[in-house]
Amino acid sequence: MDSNRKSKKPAPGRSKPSPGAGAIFFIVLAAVTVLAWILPLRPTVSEKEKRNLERFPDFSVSSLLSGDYFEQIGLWFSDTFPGRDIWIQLSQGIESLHGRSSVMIYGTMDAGDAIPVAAEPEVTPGPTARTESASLPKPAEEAAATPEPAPTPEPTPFWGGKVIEDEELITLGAVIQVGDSAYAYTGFSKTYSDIYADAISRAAEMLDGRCRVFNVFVLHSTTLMLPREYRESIGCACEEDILEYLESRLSDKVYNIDTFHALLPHNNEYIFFHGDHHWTALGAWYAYEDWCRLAGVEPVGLDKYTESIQEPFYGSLYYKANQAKKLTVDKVYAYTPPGDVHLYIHNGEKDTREKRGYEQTLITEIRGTDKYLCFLTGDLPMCTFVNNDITDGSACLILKNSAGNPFCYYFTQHYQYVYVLDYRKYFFRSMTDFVDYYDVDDVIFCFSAGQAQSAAGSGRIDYFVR
Amino acid sequence: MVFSSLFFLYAFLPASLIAYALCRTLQAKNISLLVFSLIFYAWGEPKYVLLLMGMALFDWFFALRIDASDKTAARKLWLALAVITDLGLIGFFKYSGMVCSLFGPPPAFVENLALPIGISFYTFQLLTYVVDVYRGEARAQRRYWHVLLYAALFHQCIAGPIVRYQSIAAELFEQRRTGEDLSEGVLRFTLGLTKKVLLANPCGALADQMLLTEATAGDAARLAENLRHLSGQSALGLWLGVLAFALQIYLDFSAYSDMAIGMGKMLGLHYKENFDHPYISRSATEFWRRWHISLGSFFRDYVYIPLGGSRRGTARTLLNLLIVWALTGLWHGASWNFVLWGLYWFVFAAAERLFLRRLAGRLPNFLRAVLSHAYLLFVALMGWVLFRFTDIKLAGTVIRGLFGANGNPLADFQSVVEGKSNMFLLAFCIVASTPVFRKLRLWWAEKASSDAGKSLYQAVVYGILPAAMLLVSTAGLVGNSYNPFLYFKF
Repeated sequence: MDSNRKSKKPAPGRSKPSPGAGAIFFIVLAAVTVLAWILPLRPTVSEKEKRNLERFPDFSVSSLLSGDYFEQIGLWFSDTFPGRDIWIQLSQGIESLHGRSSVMIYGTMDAGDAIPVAAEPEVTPGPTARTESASLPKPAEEAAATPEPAPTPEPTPFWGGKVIEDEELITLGAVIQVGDSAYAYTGFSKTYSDIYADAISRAAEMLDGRCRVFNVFVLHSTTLMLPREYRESIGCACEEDILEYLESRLSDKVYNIDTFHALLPHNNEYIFFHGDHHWTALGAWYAYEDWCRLAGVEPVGLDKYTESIQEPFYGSLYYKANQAKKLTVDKVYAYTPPGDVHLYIHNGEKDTREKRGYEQTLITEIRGTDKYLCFLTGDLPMCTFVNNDITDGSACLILKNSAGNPFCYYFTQHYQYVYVLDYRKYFFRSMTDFVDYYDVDDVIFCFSAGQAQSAAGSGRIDYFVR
Repeated sequence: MVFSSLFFLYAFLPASLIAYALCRTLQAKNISLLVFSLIFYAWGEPKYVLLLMGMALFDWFFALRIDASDKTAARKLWLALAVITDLGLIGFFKYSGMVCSLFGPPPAFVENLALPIGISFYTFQLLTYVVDVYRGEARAQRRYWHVLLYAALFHQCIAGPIVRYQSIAAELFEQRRTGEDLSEGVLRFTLGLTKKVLLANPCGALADQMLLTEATAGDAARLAENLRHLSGQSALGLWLGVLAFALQIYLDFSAYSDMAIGMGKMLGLHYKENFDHPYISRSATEFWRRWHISLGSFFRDYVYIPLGGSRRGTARTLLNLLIVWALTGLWHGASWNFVLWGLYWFVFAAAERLFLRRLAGRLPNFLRAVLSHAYLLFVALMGWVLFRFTDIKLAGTVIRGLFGANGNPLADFQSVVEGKSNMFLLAFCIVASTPVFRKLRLWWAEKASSDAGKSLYQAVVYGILPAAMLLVSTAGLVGNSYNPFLYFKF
């Protein structure tokens, strides 16, 4: 290449290309251009990425002058490109040629805090299983023994902080793909773990003598599916240590479910998805089994439930993994509770016992690929299970993120009312307001390790516990 | 707007080509080019299109005055006014923050001053126009919009190459044979696009992963955290990051030049080459003859030679080189690390001129070839570390870490996995940085002597290959948010 002259003539021996030789390029360019401008072909939602795609921007003079308007048009144009899933698949195919490794890392690996060694257990005995009749008076008994409390003023929505819409925002670290499964990179934040543990402890203190408080800290599949030595070698925080640390920091009034030891013996079963950060309904059942042990009740086996399967399920990690084709495609097994159980869905604004919202099928048939939405129809502010076969007025409150969605079904066999709040979307009542108003017997906090250790997650839980 | 965007590929480019094709006369084609160029520029910087138009207006006027003046003093005066105006404006927009920071925190209006995109490219182009008119190497352009078209032409306005007025004026305004090099242009454009999307972008993502993203590294509030992160990064990880960045910056920058040259060829405009496989060089001097050639030749012709070049003794030559290298560094960004980077290259260029070349000459041929090449690659890679980090502490940490001097491990899980996961990509990019593919194509072209062979060659190289590259590049752009534009700070 002669850098100082413009080469207009072909080198000796080379034939000058005819202008027609490039016709294929212009045909392809024209075809894709036409395709790109058929607006009805443009998708508005990406199921794989679980997000709404860019919308065409609204016009304003200020956005025009700043250049934002045109930039947004460019974003809309590329984000909603017709056939985007096919293009992305092609792109992922090309990216899979970048290297050869059975392990892949996606995203940036952030170093977390060092996990403190758990404090020595105190001499006072920890919480032991209590029977309902022995430990807590029945609501009816309590009502007879104590004067009726003065009606509390109607609460007003109190949360003015950040509304957490997207769980991926607070996933710790990157994603690692090992063989046919993807795993979240686990980290540890002492600051936020402390806020979380203190909030749960405070809840137990505040409700002492009124409700039992359970903590279900849902671990990542990384912790239960990959050997500890391997996790240590790749710089993952070992969540069993985090669980131990939390246990040491939690009040002894908190019933802490040992999700690590409850699930570990079953890690050869389908307890976590291959391409999603959630546990399966089966994984959730093993944690429920441990809850039963602590709560002093008999677990209801899955054989009593009606199993249904929805597939294919492309989860959050599936999209993050560029070599997603190597991942085993997931199925969602859902279990419909036995008995006369109904599910009601409420938008969480000015909820009352009389207004439970509209009734929804217990397990929703999902048309798209995010089959995990079949549980509770996704992350709604407030759901209520009513089991008409139980008539004692018993009630539990489950405050959860999406990890709790398959988990809460199992409680329908033990309470007449199971109130399920998504802490990211329910803002109407504080914890004590809710417990008093709905006459709740037990409170269960069920959070994924990632959210419990995030600034927004722990902060929001902390604020709810009032 | 950038070339490697879907909106450019499937809205702007087809529209501009159709409009251009529909125009019959050269004047109409140029008007169409001007309108699309202004839209292209205004797409990202609506207000700064006025700056571009204003600078073209000043230089059009000054060049006319120079052309009309018989007296040397008057010509010099108009030239000086043009240079002061151009450099004053670029100085204000690009360097006022850097200068103010010498005396304390810059005022708010300086901090909020956005750098007009492409200002370093089009200012230098306009300077070549005025100086060439002053030197009598080009006639002043009577029509203002011709000067504006020359400066604003969207092919090269925002990312180069820096096209000298006299090298393009005839094709731009007098005679243009559109269509003659259409297929060559298409091939060149799609090669550049593919290079950018499929090679440079993944290399950039890997570099960001191992060396921190530019935004994170540039955040002064995170300095302690960034230092901790980089000092803990393994040596292998840092080498991977530096190598990936070196490949990214070459492939990305040369890809933009390829696309500009390709689009020019489609319309019958022939821009000079801007890169000539710089990583195969064996000295710093050779590297800079092959890297960003249009910038190097600008400084040679408009700074180095007017200062006396190498004709006024060793000391003066070194001083001239020092000035040129400092300006070269400064041109790349308003930050002291770029000045340092320029001076870093000066040290090696000067050492080569003074003694290194002689020392190397004493070595046996094979050994000289190997050692010279290893020397150049080492110098270039270390140079990119200085270039990447605006904070010198971060650059120092990375350079120490490359040799395990931060107490960092030589390799860890992440670096081994990333190395394995990207080994074919990096190997392919290294090969793509050499003339191997071009030589293969030439070899095939020469071997294809029969009519059938020639037809097959043309069908594959000029037909199937560009179409396929367009499609795979489109796939790489759909849904991929990582598509950096490195030249905003230039």
